[in-house]
Amino acid sequence: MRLLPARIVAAIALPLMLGLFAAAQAEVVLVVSRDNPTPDLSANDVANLYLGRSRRFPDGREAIVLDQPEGSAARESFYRSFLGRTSAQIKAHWSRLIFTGRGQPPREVAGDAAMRVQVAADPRLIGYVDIAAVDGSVRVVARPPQP
Amino acid sequence: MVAPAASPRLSAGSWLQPKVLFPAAGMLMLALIWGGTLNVIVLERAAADAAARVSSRELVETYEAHVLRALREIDQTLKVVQFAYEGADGINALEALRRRDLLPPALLFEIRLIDAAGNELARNPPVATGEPARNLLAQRYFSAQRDADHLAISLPQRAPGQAWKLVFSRRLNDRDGGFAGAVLLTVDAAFFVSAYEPQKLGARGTLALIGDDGVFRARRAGEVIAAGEQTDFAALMAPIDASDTASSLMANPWDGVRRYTSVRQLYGYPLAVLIGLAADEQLAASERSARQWLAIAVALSIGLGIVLLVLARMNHRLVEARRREADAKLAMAREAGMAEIATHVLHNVGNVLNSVNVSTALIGDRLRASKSVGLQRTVQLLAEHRDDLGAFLSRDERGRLLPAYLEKLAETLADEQRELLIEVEQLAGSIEHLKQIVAAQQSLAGSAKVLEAVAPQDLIDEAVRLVSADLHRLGIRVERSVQPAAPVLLDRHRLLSVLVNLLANARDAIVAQREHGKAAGTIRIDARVEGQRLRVKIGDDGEGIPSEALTRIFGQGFSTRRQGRGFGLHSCALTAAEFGGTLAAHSAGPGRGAEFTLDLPVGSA
Repeated sequence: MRLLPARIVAAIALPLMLGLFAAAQAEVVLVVSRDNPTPDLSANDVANLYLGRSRRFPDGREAIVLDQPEGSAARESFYRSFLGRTSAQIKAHWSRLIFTGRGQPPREVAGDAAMRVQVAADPRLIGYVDIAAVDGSVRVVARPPQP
Repeated sequence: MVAPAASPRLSAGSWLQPKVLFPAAGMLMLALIWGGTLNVIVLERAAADAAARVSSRELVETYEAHVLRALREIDQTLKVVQFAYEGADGINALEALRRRDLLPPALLFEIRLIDAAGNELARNPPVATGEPARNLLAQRYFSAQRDADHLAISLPQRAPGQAWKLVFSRRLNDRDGGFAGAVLLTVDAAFFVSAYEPQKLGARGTLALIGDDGVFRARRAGEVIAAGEQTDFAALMAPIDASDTASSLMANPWDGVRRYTSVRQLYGYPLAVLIGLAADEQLAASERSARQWLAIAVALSIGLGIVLLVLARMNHRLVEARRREADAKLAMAREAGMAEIATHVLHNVGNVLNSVNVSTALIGDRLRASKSVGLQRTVQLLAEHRDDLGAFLSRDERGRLLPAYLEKLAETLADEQRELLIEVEQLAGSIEHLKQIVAAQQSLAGSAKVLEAVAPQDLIDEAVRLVSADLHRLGIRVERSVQPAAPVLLDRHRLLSVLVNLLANARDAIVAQREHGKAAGTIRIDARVEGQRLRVKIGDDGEGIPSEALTRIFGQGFSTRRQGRGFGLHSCALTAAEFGGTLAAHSAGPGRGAEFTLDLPVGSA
């Protein structure tokens, strides 16, 4: 009798708490290598890079954009908070660009840790990770605009 | 008085009548407005239609290029995987290629290696976001690769709740060239219609990839993506032309929307691309413009109508005013005409009455001075001597003279009777003339011509006789120089009136000259027929006419005499003109007489 309610509570409360936690804490930020001197990016700069309109940082140096795989929570969070678009809209966007030969989507890197390691190793790279995954090897250049 | 009748027939000048001109101008302007408007609308529609056709063709050509490139890239990818699998990499081909960045974006393209039994060996992306692994032995795009290597294109596939997908495949060989399986590439059907641009294709345009089996591999209208329906491929390709494009404005059978539809078969693939521009969207601008033109034309027509109505109303008022004015003038003219006729008749009657008056006075004088009184006295004397009539006649001195006296008396009385008869005849003649004047007026308002054969000398004699009593009383001599001529056709009574008028005029001039204390008393008449004309000159030695009056004496109301009514010469001139002739006056000046010349065309009897 004691176990059953505890299981029920756990079954209900745990995902709920995790969900709330995730919603509260899952802030995704854009990071570059510590060696990358680029100034902070505006929302417009981020949109230009991630929609394939620009392949350079605002100071003119080459930029290689990295993405997380479709279906990952970080990807959903990033596009919703930075560009105000759903993952499906982004897919349609790249679909059109690829079909008409005007662009290639960002290379995909799976997971915050792999992303951080890759970005830290190459100053040309830019990617997004959960703010919790940020350490001294990378530098945050953009946070989600506050609504 | 006969008014000129308004002619109802249309002549060149009648086009200028407002009654005709306004509606004609109105119709012309309406025709111009509507002709121009409809022409502009037709031209704009034709231009919009042509633009839509051109646009449809251009879009289908661009679309064709994109689809061809996408298909070649897909095929290239399959061949690269084939090469990697059959070479060193084998089952690790996908991983090897991914590391070298030789695979297409995993975001859109899923690649699988399938063994000869239809089971999955490997896939990219490695996480199963697409189809779950299952045996594909029964799938046509897999089994078809058993016979020979080729690019197979599946029918559209859809897992429940998922988007339409297309599967492309190529054969994998083992080291001996036997069937080892297939490489599959799966892509959303939406990829092939992602080039849909709403600003060019509108909300109801169509972009489609269609197999030559008539099955849509992908079809997009606005934001709606469909696939899998069957349509009549042959019918779509029927209007194909020299540029290998089938292009026509037609109601698309799959959704009933009329579109400028262009189709191109893809070189080297069992596929065709299709573009459709919705006719109502493409022609919306020209239809809007047409409505504006129509609105302008309607407004112009209404404005024109109002202007014409106002003009017509103003014109109607003007015409009414003119008509009333003309009616008033006509009435005045009629009254004046009637007065003139009355004056004319009365004047002529007056002239003749003058002569009647003189004749009557003469007859009275004669009767008063009649010797019939002597007869009465003789009869009385004989009555006194009734008893001794024989002695009285033989012895009495008076009685003896009586037979001779009676004889003389009888002669005198016979003379008297003859003279009286002559006067009575003249009187009867004058009265007959009066009757004719009145009858002439009664018959046809004074303008009837009653022609009869008359010898000119008889006409002159009759005129002179009508005034002779008067002239005789005044001691005026008439010198006649009338050339004998055959009778001519003329209106005796009206000419007689003219001549009597002229003679009375001459008489009055002589009387006036005498009043000035100068001797006068001769009227000369000269009459002759020359060819078809009768010319009568009546001259006098009366008071004459001042030169400044010569041109005015024939005008109505002009008179140099105090009692004159100023009508006689006016009437004579009118009559002469009526018969196609002239009446002219000549005078050497005041106190030096005058001469009137009547010149008339006459017909021979």
